Amino acid sequence: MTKKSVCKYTFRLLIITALTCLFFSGSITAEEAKTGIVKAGPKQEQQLYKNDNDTKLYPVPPPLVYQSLYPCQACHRKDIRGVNSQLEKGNAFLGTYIHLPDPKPRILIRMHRDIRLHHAKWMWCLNCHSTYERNYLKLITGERISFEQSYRLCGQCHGSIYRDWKLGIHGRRVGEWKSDGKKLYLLCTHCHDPHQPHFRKLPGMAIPELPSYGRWENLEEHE
Amino acid sequence: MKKEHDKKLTRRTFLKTAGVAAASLAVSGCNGISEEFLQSHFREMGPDEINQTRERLEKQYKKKYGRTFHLGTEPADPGILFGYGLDLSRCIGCRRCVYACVHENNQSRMPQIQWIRVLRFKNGSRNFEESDHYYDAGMVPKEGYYTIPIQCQQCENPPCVKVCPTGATWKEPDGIVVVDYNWCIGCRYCMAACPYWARHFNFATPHVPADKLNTNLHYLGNRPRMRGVVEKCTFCIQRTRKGRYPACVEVCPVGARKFGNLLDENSEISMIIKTKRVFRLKADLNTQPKFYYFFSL
Ligand code: HEC
Ligand code: HEC
Ligand code: HEC
Ligand code: HEC
Repeated sequence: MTKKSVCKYTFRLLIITALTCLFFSGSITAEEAKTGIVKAGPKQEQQLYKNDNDTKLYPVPPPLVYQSLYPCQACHRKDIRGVNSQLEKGNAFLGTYIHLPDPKPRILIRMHRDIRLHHAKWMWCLNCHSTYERNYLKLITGERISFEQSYRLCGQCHGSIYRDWKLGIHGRRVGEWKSDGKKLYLLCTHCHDPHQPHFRKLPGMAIPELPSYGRWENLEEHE
Repeated sequence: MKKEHDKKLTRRTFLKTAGVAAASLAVSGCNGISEEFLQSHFREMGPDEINQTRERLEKQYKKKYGRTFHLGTEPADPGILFGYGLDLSRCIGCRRCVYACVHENNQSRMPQIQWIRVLRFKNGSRNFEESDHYYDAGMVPKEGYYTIPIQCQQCENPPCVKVCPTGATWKEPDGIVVVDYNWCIGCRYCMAACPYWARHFNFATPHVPADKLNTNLHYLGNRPRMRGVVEKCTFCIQRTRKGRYPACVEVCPVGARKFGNLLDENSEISMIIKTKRVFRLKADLNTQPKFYYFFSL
């Protein structure tokens, strides 16, 4: 590319970015015009979500996992981690149920056969589950979180839905309607199976009866 | 109030000692009817009369159904205007809200009365006349269709209230349109006036099995109705006046139903109006519904 065409391209790019900025921000303030730096996103949105604090905790009903295999560390025991190979051999002796963490993506055969991942294609168990402490989930930062906070896990990748969930728009709450009232926030995993998150079909309920107007009068007399 | 109570007692004991048991029954029965007949309009009752009516009705229901009821008469709190949101990009038309409402609000099972009606449209159709609410749901969501549940839209400018000749229906300060069943004469003008098909008439004596009755009642809401009166959605007044979400909101499996205080700018409904695309049904009629349909996608 010649120097001239590069200049042309950068110039075009500049115009396009400027136009898009104009389009998305609505109006530009005097300060923005002077500095040439336009803040991204609509003004209103910035105000609404300004105080988003990602470590805020929400009261939730007990996660469904507590009714299934929990505690996971009954089998995924921490105390065997990094112990000598003798114990690792002892694995066979202790049966299949003492399991050492194995970060290799593979088809699970000894356990969890019912779990099939239909999330993103590249997803593996240990993107979400803590490697060494199976009673916990883990964030991309490596921070361990309990199953009650699984919304933080999902929120890492589903930001806009997470934001709506925090405002009460996505998902459901039960309890009191007042914004500062006592209520429970249903976890993402109460509605979405984390392993196959697509919302499942539900059986619909009965068809309403056609109006019967006067016909019931007679029936009542017979009762 | 206390005085009258005493009077009644003495009269009853007198009759009993006189040994005219049959006469006593007839008199007290007749007395009950006349008391109900002479009952004032709910908005004109003083605290004493409200209490008296509450006790009388609770007793009457206990006798009729053999269960203990709590009849609430909580007034509207100031600073509250209820609003409702319904997420049309999530609703799957499963009708769980319909039946949760029937149970919560003691709607007649025979003949059937349902305050929520789920309309199903073919994708691409926006004509209400082409919608169907007697569809066989099967497994939902069903491809090629979308659904819009309708119920009372709690208009700020309610046409049903304007036409009522007896003042039996009115808008409460928190925005809920209610009916005093004792004052309804069953003329059904309100049903004709409502553009949302939200009012329902008891053509026959409503029938609810006693063990299926919800015992948490409100005078202006889900107390047992009689034949010949009109009833409608009250945003579950017996729950919401005590701070709880309406039953349909808590049951929705996809979380499409939202509820809150329009005057509180942090409430869920205010957030929806601020951040999503909302619309109201038949807004051109100037009924000003407080029921907002929205799209979260
Ligand atoms: C009954 C014992 C048992 C329990 C309880 C159990 N697991 Fe496992 N888990 C195993 C075994 C055995 C394997 C190895 C399967 C294989 O390699 O085929 C395994 C493998 C895994 C893996 C694959 C990654 C790895 O380290 O090999 C994950 C993730 C996992 N389990 C998560 C959990 C979670 C989360 C729980 C608690 C909800 C749980 N497990 C409870 C026995 C158990
Ligand atoms: C997208 C993140 C994610 C991935 C990937 C994932 N899990 Fe999970 N898993 C979760 C969450 C969140 C829960 C808790 C669910 C709840 O609270 O009900 C869970 C629960 C479980 C449970 C207990 C509940 C149940 O469904 O039986 C087991 C066992 C489990 N996971 C194993 C696995 C295995 C094995 C893999 C890999 C094949 C895996 N998970 C992949 C997020 C994930
Ligand atoms: C590491 C990032 C990541 C995490 C963590 C994650 N997801 Fe996802 N999720 C994705 C991606 C990527 C897709 C898109 C997959 C596709 O379209 O094939 C997706 C898709 C989905 C979908 C749409 C599925 C569909 O087909 O309609 C749902 C629902 C969902 N995720 C829920 C969750 C929940 C609930 C959690 C928390 C337990 C979670 N996700 C955690 C990355 C993630
Ligand atoms: C009350 C149940 C419920 C809860 C709680 C819930 N969701 Fe959903 N979610 C749904 C439904 C229903 C859909 C629509 C699914 C469809 O159309 O297939 C959906 C759709 C999604 C999608 C697909 C994209 C879209 O907009 O259609 C993602 C991603 C998702 N949810 C993530 C989450 C995350 C993350 C959380 C927790 C912060 C969460 N959900 C909590 C019910 C729920």
